[in-house]
Amino acid sequence: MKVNDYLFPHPVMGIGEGFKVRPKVEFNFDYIEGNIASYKFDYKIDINDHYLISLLESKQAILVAEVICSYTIFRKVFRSFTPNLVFEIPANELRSKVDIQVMLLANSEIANYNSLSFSNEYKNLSFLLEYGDLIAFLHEIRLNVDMRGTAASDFIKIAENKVDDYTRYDLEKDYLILRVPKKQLDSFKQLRVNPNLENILISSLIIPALVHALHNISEENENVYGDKQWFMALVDNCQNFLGTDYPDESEISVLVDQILKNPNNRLVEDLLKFLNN
Amino acid sequence: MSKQKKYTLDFSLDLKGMVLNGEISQMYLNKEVFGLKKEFEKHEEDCEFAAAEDDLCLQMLKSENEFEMGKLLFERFDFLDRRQASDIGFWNYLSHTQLYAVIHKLWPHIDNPPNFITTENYIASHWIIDSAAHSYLMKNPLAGMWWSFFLSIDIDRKDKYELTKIFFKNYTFRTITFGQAKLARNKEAVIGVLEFIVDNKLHETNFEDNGRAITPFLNLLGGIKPLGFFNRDWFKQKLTNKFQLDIEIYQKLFRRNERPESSIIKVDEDVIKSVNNTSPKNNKKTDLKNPEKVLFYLNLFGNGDYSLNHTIDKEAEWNVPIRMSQTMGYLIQCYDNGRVNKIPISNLLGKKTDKIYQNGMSHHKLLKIQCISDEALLLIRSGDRNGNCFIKIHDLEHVASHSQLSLMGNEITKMRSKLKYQVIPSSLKNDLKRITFKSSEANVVVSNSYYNREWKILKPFMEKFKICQD
Repeated sequence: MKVNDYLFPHPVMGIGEGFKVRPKVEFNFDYIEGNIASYKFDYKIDINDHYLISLLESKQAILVAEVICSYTIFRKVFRSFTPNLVFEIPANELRSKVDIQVMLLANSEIANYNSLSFSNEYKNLSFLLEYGDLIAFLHEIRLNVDMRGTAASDFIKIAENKVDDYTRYDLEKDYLILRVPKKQLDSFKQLRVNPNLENILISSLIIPALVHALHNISEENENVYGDKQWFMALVDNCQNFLGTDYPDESEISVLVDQILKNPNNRLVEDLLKFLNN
Repeated sequence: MSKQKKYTLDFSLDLKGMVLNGEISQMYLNKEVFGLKKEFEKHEEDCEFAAAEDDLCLQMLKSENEFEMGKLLFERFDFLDRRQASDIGFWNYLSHTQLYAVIHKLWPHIDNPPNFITTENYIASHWIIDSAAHSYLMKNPLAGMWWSFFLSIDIDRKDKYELTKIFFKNYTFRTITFGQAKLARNKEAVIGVLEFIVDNKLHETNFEDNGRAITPFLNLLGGIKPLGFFNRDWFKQKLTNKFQLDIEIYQKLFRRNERPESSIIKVDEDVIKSVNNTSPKNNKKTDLKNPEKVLFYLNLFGNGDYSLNHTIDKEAEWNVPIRMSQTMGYLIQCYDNGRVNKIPISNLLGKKTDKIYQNGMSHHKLLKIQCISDEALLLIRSGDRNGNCFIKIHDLEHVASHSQLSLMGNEITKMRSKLKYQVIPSSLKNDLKRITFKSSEANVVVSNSYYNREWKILKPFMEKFKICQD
């Protein structure tokens, strides 16, 4: 469910400015090993509004987590009548990308829905809610349950180009693969054991590949590359460093700097060292 | 007992590329055994479960229909968890080894590749899956069958496959319009929708169109409510509230822009007007009880303008009579780009007579425009440079109806050369099913004597409308 404040005819906590207060959410996610491995999701919600808490306690409202996984055609809802919601999903039910939304919903018809925490423009208004209507949008997250890591070394590989004599970037696999001619690959294998050359190799090989891949991180390409590890790792990096799922073109160089931890700066320092030695 | 095999993930991702660049497409032409089965053994690995019995393929090949085929597959692998059932290496392995011949039976036109889809693309579309995303799983022949059973089976019913049988009645609904929708990930939604379809007999006619109306409506609700929260009864109730009137009046469902709002009333008003007008030719009043009587003419001009008039406009390029019997039918527009647009006549009847409207056709060349009173068949003829004449029949029930005359419509043939269209009665549906194809890629060359029975049936139409004469 995509949410924005234009969709609802009543104030919804967590969306827009309908409420003066916001909820606080603590979320933990763990992988539990065992005979049947599972993923454990643990939510502690501070709803921050007495009226909504009373609706939950009287079961007129219900706390719900909707979990969706495209790669296993999975869509399920977990429920609670308390502000804590803990549930487990067997690991064999999920693959790769998992989306979770946590909401407070009307569990029955609520006439005269009105909270003291409504913002001023809704203060004297009351609303009729029907079963299933959204009362509060509490949390939204996308996880990759299979992800090995988001550092560049977790999702970039260098391999031989068996087709021609150029460097090519292969986006079709789980890893982002730089395909180089055999001679170059053999040279690279010799060079990379020398730690003094690391930053030069990063700048000359990894940065162009990363820039190329980041230009392919977009909503339009979600269908094409969305299940690849490199795509998900870069989206994760984008969320962490830029606060968005997909980078604007103008932000790609900034993101490269963040992911590779200022590679050009380190390159210049190394080159200066060579110059001075 | 030996373990079931599958292909490795990396190899599964490479396979499509190998097919598309032509390296191995020839190896798919043998309909019984894949040509590289042995060579690909080095890309195999074990699954966690036992191998399928050797006779699964034979049993599936003997099945009368896709439902029976899918049932055998599902029951053999009903223990799969979701992760195993979304393993592309597993489905690719089955498609190239144990169930290779089944794919050939389901998609038999590899020998007659359509002119505008290459053999390589045809193979890649049907034998290979390269992503575990929902839409890919539903589209793949084997994975799609398994998941269709998984999503629709209801063990609380006397016949747990009762709704699955309905699901399999329309391929487009099952694998595309509803099957690929996000709401189909919720089993309660699937059961609720299928129950609604069965209760209102919406699968008996216009199934595809009815399906196309359901999904967008529920997606609209999903924009403001988390659909995973609701049970099957909620979905049925919402669908009933929305579509009950359509079912009672029209026995079909409409998408948002197609619903004829007050056209029934409009028809009555215009019919009353035509009753009050006397015909200038014979001074007789219009006979209301004659279903063949022309209500209006759709006069369509070369620049795309059109009007509804009581008489023919000689300046118009097309004068299409709309008869009493056709008011619940469709207008069919057939273009030179292989596309057909189908518009409910009820959409037109709401318009004013003698007023010029714009956008009466798409910008492609219109080859045929005609009204039909009910679903019919469309005979499509095409040719090639060598003088061959190709024929296919397309059931117009499988062409989605649209709201606008200017839309391009559905692509029903990829052929572009020497195209001709002719509407023929739907009473011939059973007799012509061997040359009736939903796929836009498929057709049959007229010189193919295997279809002599069909050519005999079509002969009167071919001669009357000079179908294979240029």
